[in-house]
Amino acid sequence: MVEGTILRADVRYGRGAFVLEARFELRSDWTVLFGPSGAGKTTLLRIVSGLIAPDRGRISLEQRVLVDTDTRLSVAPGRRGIGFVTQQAALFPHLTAQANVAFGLQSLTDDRLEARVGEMLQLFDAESLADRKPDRLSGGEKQRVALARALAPQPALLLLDEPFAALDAAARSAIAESLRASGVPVLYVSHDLADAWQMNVDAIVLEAGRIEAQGPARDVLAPYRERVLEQLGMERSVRA
Amino acid sequence: MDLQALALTLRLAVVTTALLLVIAVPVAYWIAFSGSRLRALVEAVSTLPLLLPPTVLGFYLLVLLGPRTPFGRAWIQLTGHPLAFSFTGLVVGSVIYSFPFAVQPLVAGFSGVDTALLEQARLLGASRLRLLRAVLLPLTARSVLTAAVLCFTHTVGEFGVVLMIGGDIPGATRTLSISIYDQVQDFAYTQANRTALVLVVISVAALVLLYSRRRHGLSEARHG
Amino acid sequence: MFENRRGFLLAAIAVITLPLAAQTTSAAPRALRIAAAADLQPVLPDVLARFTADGNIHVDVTYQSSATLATQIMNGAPFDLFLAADLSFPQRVIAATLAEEAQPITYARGTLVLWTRNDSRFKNLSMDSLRDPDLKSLAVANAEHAPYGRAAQAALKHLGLYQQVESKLVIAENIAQTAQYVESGNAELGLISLTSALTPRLKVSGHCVVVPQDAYPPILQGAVIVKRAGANSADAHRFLDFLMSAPIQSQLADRGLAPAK
Repeated sequence: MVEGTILRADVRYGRGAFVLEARFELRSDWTVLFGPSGAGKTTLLRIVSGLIAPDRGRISLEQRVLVDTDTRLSVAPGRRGIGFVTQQAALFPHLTAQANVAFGLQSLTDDRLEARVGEMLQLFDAESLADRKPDRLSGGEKQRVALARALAPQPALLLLDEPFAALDAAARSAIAESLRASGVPVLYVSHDLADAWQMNVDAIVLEAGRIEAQGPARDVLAPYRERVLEQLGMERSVRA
Repeated sequence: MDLQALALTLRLAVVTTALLLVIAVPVAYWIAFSGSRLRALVEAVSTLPLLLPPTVLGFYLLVLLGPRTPFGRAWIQLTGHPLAFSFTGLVVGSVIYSFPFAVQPLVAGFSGVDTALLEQARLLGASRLRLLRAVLLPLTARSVLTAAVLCFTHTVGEFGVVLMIGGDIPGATRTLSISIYDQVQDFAYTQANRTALVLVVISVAALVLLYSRRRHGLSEARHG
Repeated sequence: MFENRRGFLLAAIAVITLPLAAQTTSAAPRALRIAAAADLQPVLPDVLARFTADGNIHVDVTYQSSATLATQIMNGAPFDLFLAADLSFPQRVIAATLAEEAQPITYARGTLVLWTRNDSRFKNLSMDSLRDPDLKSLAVANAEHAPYGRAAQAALKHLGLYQQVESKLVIAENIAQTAQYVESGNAELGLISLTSALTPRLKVSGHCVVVPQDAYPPILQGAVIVKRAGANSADAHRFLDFLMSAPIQSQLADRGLAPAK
């Protein structure tokens, strides 16, 4: 369990047709970022990760300022202590699973690197995949290796952009277990209201580039109850 | 058969190819990934040697490398002789002449790499050099090989530039293509044929190497 | 320039309309094709301007090394007249039974000069400049197939300089390129043709001394009329006579080509 504020962000990005203006804090170690497609969820994660720079604003992670446009501060993506996994796992195709996981561990000695890689593969139940290249991994296996790779450098925050959209419920809950076991706070983009509802985590609702609501999932998602029930119903009927 | 010319030609091609890869990789990286407005201009200028007839290019190099330009004067001050008529001068000429052949395949290769992979490398803390060494170059190995083989064969067959800036000095600037030209001018067709055969064999061997590797690479990719 | 352009235009019109008006071509100018050695490039245009002044004939000239031109003629290139830079290349054409003559007609004699830029360190240029131990480079044409290159090599040997300068030789494919090497300043000295040295550009940028005539065998330039189906033999003869006439020979002499006899 994490105490206090993990991430604090107040950013503005874009002009004309699309403007993202978001001010939010992460306090819980599992937060769902929810909203219709085109709301700016992915853009927000990319800004937090450092892949794109906001036009204005400030981001800080556990007391450390990552971005401050007033002082022209911007910490490089690789130095932010943030992991980012997307739906397309983006494993390096020329490297084995284990070399992928080791990619972010350049600063470690060989012994410690090997230990950390082993630990991560074990966490995601992927030890048997260590020597395989991505072209010999299934979709779910790729995601597990990608998560192991993102968590290996011990980030202070993990950003997930719908990494489980293509996976079935069993695979999803197994991965969720592993993620919880890692103890790293997660900001998780999802279309799936049911997940957030059932897990009763914190939720942020983003619509048309603005934060509409923020708080415990069941409060925040109340206006969307109809759709939640619909999705829950659909899932039950699929299971039945 | 002029063995000295053969050895010189191979040395020139190897040195030129190695230098070109070292120079072209950062240039291609910049062309492929910088959003700069100058990008189109740099890409156009890097294609220029394709547009100029080799002898014209050679003539401008002769003037540019000569003692009538500041660069040429500085070089002569430094080394005591002009760049023209020396092996170094040929290398400079060949590097410029084959530059597009190195840059174009690399730009195409780099541009084809999934940006998600490059972003992951950045997120995982890779420096630009590591990104290049550990991700970009391994993923574009075929483009690098294509660039290398094209530069090598293009240099082996280079004529106009060498004719203009070489000075036909045995062991320093008399390459195989110049040797063939001399032989043809002297009506020594048998000798010329023999030399041309060597030139063709070298180039075909290099191309066979390239294309067999490439097909291998493609089938590997298809299995994935 | 204007003459040439008008000539070109007329020729173009002639080429386009010739097949249409095959019966009535008498008014169109006749065409003569000359293969000329590269060293004639600074000299020939003025001669041709006088030759074509009456507008009845149009002349196309291809400038190349004599070796290349001889090869092209022996492989069927459609030339009517071959003006070479020496006698050996016309003799090859004769040997291939592609010439009207049994012996090349000597139409001029070339002169070899030692040339340097005005801004070089050789202010008092003389043949002795070649003995300078600090001499870095001497541009000469290829002795195997360029007539001036052959003359340069012979002269250097005759003057007992060859061994001394051999390592400093920079060899150009032809005499025009030799001039480029030394005019661009890349070579310190050059043994070039007097015709090159007398061009406006080189006259301004440098100076020369004439290599003693007895140091090398004369550079005799020979011509042959090409024998082939459809050749314009009559005009080739006419032009050759014109070239050998006293006024033209003296015009050539002003430009660096001595009379043949």
